[in-house]
Amino acid sequence: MIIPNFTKPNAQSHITLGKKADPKNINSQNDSKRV
Amino acid sequence: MRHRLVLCNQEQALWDEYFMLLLQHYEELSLPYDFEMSFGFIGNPILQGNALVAIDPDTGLAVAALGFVFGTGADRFENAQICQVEAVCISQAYRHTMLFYAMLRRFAHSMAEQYPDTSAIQFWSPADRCDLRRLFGKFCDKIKTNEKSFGRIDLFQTDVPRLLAYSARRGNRKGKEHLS
Repeated sequence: MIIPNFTKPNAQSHITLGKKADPKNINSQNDSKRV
Repeated sequence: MRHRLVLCNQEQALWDEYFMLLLQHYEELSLPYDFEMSFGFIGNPILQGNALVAIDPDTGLAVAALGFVFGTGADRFENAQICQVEAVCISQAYRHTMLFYAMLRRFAHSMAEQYPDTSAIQFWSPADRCDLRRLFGKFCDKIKTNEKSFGRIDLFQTDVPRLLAYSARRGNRKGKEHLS
């Protein structure tokens, strides 16, 4: 098992993080699903 | 008992009360969407709207809440003259018409005073709830019913003058008829 070490300065570069979601965009999409 | 009716933008600490109340009563909210979508609608007033909260003077806790935003998703919330109510909740023990109409009246006055540019107030409701259709039909027009993957939903619409007139009229009546 590989346990990621988040204390390493560049640890996050080895992890695929999703694009930070824009709440306004998500809410806009959700609301449009009702129309 | 007279509850304290406050808008969350006047007391920022009330946002916690608003959010906790709605999540604690999530099953009773009658939101027909999946949790992720419902969560977004409940949270949206915190990001880009406001909420009215009724506080029990004895406990200091929220017993009812009404969250709303300005604009609709289709217009990316640019059409701010439309107020969209996203969630309404009254705790079971406090669920009677007096509190409901007191909230409606306070909400209508707040809209008239703080958001005078609002041209319409609208909200979506499950179409299969006859009790809700009957209740909302008293002070709103049913604009349309949509068939969606998550179920049938009604779009209700009203405006501030109509809500003011209706809630003022109801406020003059006595009674403790329970809401379903």
